[in-house]
Amino acid sequence: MDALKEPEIEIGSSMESFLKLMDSQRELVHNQIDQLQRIVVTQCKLTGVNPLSQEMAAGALSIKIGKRPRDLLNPKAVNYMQAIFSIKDSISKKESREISALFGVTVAQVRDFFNSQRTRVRKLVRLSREKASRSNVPEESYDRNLTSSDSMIPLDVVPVNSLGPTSIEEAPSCSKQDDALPGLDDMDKYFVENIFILMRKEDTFSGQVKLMEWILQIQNSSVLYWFLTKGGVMILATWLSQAAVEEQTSVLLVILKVLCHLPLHKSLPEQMSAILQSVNSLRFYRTSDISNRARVLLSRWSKIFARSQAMKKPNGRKSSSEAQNEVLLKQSIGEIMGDGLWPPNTDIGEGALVPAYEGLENSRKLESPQALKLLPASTYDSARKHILGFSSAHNRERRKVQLVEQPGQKMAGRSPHATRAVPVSQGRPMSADDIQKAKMRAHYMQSKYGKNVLSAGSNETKTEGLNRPLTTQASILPPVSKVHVQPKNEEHKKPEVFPTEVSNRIEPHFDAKQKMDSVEPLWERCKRVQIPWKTPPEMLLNDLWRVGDGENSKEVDVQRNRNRREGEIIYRTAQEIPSNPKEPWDVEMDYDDTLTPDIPTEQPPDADAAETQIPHDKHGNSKIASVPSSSQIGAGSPPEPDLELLAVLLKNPELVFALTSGQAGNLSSKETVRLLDMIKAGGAGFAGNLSGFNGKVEEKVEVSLPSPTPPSNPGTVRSGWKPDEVRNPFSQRSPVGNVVAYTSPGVTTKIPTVEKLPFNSTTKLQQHSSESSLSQQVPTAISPFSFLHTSTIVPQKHVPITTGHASERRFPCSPSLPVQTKAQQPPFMSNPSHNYRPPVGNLGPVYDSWEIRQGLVLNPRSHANQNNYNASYTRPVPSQMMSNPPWEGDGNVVDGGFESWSPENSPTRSAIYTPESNSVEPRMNFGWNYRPDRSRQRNSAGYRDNNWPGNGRWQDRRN
Amino acid sequence: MVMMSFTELDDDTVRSMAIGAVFSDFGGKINWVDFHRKEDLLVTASDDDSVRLYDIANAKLVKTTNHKKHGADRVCFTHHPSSVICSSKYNLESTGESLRYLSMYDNRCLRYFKGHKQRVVSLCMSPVNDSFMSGSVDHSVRIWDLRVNACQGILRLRGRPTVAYDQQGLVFAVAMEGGAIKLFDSRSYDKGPFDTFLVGGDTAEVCDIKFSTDGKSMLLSTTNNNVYILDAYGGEKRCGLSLEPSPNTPIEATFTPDGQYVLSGSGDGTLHAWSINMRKEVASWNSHIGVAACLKWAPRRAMFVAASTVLTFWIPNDSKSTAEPVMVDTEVGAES
Repeated sequence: MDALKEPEIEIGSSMESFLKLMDSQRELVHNQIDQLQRIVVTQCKLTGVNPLSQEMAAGALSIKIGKRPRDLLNPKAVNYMQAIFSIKDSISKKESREISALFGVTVAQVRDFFNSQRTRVRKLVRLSREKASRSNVPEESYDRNLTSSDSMIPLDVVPVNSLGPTSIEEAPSCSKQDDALPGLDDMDKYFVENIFILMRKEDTFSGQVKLMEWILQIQNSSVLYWFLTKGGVMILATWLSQAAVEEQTSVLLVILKVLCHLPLHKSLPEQMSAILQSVNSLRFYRTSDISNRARVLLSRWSKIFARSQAMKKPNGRKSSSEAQNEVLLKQSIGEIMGDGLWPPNTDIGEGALVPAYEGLENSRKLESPQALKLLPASTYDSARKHILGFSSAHNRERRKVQLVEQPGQKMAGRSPHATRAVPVSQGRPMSADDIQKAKMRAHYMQSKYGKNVLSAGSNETKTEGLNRPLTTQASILPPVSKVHVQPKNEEHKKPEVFPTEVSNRIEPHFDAKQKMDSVEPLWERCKRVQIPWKTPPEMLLNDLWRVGDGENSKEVDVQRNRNRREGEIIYRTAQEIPSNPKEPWDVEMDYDDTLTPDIPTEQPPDADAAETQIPHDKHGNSKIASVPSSSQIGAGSPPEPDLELLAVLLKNPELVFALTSGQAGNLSSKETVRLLDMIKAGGAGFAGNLSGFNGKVEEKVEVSLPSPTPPSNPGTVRSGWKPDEVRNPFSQRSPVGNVVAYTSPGVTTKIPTVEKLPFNSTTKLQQHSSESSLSQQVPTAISPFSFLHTSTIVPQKHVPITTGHASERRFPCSPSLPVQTKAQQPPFMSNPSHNYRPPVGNLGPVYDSWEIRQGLVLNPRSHANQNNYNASYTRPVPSQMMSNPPWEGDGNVVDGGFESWSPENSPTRSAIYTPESNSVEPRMNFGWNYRPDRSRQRNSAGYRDNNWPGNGRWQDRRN
Repeated sequence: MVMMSFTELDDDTVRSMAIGAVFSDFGGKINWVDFHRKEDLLVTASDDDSVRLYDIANAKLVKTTNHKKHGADRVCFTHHPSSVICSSKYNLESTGESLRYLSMYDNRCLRYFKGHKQRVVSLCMSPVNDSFMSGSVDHSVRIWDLRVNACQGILRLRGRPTVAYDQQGLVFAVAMEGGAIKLFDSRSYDKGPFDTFLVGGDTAEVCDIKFSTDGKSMLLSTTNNNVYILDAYGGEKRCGLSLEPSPNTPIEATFTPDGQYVLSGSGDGTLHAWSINMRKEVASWNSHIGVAACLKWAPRRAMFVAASTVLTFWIPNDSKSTAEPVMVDTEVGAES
């Protein structure tokens, strides 16, 4: 009533000043209106459009323009956003986009909604805080009137009061209840009278410290108790959290000291829980001093509570539920103390919830006995406590659903929210959102930490239930304080049993709601569309696809055996499942990772070379012709071919010539001269040819590098077989040299097409290894090739030679005829130089492995080889092999051939060369191993034809 | 109805696929699923750190194991029906145990494979032998053998690698930065790749590679939700499918076992099926579970699984009566 009077008096006493104020205000407003008009007029002039036209039209049509976006928000969207807002304040862009997509509202609307909701909540929190402090003000002012000690306070109080004269009625009733503290000395009295006023006003940390030092000076336990029960703890808790946020270590220290000083074990559990929470969060404070203190404090409290619980028992005042509460509180302390695994967040959630429940329960319990002693004041007490608690709500805990408009929600729906919202201990309103949030957190924690949370979950349900009966009392807060009075009556009448019933009833409602907000609708929808389960039909895979099924796995057996030894472990319930699987039987030594082989991620140059092989063949036959000759000679002169020398030779045709001449000693002078002449003549031709292919030459050099062995191979083969032929190419070259140069391009370009035919046929040939078919096939296969040639000599030679090759390898007798005829054909048959033979012969094995494998397939090539001495063709071979399906299939044959050959020739050599051939092989491997198989698959699947185009593509891509 | 078996699916069967089983008890999103190559088994790894084994013939959860210490990110079966390899999410720095070889039989870890310094994001088992591969965000791919804990080979490359074996175990593919796919011979991978494919025009990260069972096609899913079907031999793009974007949730695409169809999730929570040969969309469904981050067709069954935070088994729906709602759903899915 004081408060109500005050403004009246003020207005009444200073009527003139008030009028003055009114006048000035009016003036101001008119001014502004004028200005606005002017602006509109100017704008209209400048733009030619009435800037207010929209508003005017809207006004005429009675549409509320400002509200439009809000109006368009459909209730579903609002509900959803509200639900989200209850979980978090702000949303990310992504979420707002999702929401907008989900409900067909714009992103801006979503954002606005959240912004407005935020500001609204903030405002409400501020208001309610003010209100709370206002409601206390009367008492304070009353006190002040009595003591009139502090000059600062009135200045603060008056404006607050003038703001809102709504809650006045409470003031008188509240005012006097506490004066009855017995045995106070002056200092304590002064403290009692002023401390709360000062504390509530104090915003600065330094001021807070001063006040707390004052508290520390108070030794009278009854005063301290009074301070405690009056909500001093709540203020301290607020300060504590603020100081923690601001990291005011010194303030924190003092607060903790004060907390030590206060007889907290006597305080109400609900307040206790608030402080508990704040202190708990300090456990992890940056400064170890603080965190240690906080820990000590917590452990002390937990002991005290254990003791006080024991003490309470004999009192007989303890209902079973209370006992339970105590246990829960202890548990929560224990959990906070003990469980480091839980993130601080959870601690708070759980810690807050449990004591909340307790506090409520207890405060209610305590009230009734107290009522006997203290008369109705006690209820006011508790009511005040709530107010205090509320007033001290932390900044971050500002969300209350009941304060937020819930569109589409009826009052009926709203009131429970409101009720539930308030009666939280820790000075923070427990709203539906809070509960929901806590539940979600619990849900999350449950999934994350398993059963740990179960207890928390059960607590929550109780909290809900208990909140219910307290509603009346609780709903006081934001609205008007008069509610206070009635609730207490109701409160007392309510049967104890009620809460549990309520909790049962409320629970499902919450569950449903929660589900709506989380993923649940998804699977609910799934369930809706679900069809009855039926074992899905099997799908048979085509055997030809050769889909792997672990046929080479050793692990399966190992595991099967192991499982035979071990007992299977089956968990019947989810709780039984350990959080981690058992560790391995024995700890394995860590291997040295530096030894892990690096796998190249770039294609090896060889691969490219191999693939560029064909193109270079196309151009480079002439080139090759020269190369082999040199290589052969090079190989011939030293006991074993020197690769480097070879490379050099290959790079420098001149050198080759020089060497050739150097080798002349081996040849008859006549021959040498002729040879040189021929080479020179050919060289001129080559030079011309090569001029265009210089780039290619380089490539070729690299390519032929690894293939020094084969060049001499023909010699070997023939040496054993027909010496004449060894020289044959040589002698031929002289006359044919030029011819080769020009024919070869034609020949080689045809190769792909030619190859295709012989390819398949030869494949079969080799597989069947039928002589007749071979002898027939080869010619036929080659025939197109030979026809393509313009030069008469070459074709003639080709046919017989190729057949010869094939026959040579496999059927020395029968096909030898054509070879011989062919051999006779060349007019320039020179005498076989025996020098060449031995070294060449040594290379046999390698050659064989090639020749046999490729044998028929390569016929078209090998013909060219004949001309060119095969040397350069080792490379082409692989390239061809890549596309050569029968390769793998022929593996056995090849090996057989290889072995049978190698012993014949000098074993040492073969030993030397085998590795080399190996080194060559793997290089091709990537091609063979892969392609062959696949092509085989393709073949089986009827894709044989694709094979070649496929290869073509490869080349194309490379080029 | 008599149990039949398919060698090939047809459009109608694909179109009739519907949810036959739902498992919604996951405490987080499902990170990966894998079918056993021969048995009717499915394994899942989810954000709730559980690895779960399902019987796909009867749609039953067989086993659950927890892995709180390491977490469960990628998972794949070995050849044994109760052994899996699982990649870790937590404690990678401290333990280095980025890969674990687990037995679901007695819930024991059999072996740790240490080497990757960061999370493994791609994991695949050779279809024929005991080797497997892992690609990690530490820019390396490692090749392992189940029987030893030593790494058999390491590929260092740029970007976040993705690995896959072909169904025959002859070749494996590694995707690296810039959308380059390198093909290796699985028996002589030490020689380097023998071929490189580039997904023309798309430099987005390839987050998943699959080979069709016939070995002819290759399926690439990129982080920007494009799906490509390449010729596995030549590397030519045969189809390119662009799906709704789903930021932070890569979608997965899968071949049917006959290699005739491709299924894919999409950012709008739908599933789509295309016929590869006809190059047309055959069906689309509402996934009912949001964006399906995991989508795999069973290797030997006419069923597929789609998973987000919920795991769903899709089977052909033979009865016409229920086929109708499915169609309705399809339309709804298309609209939304």
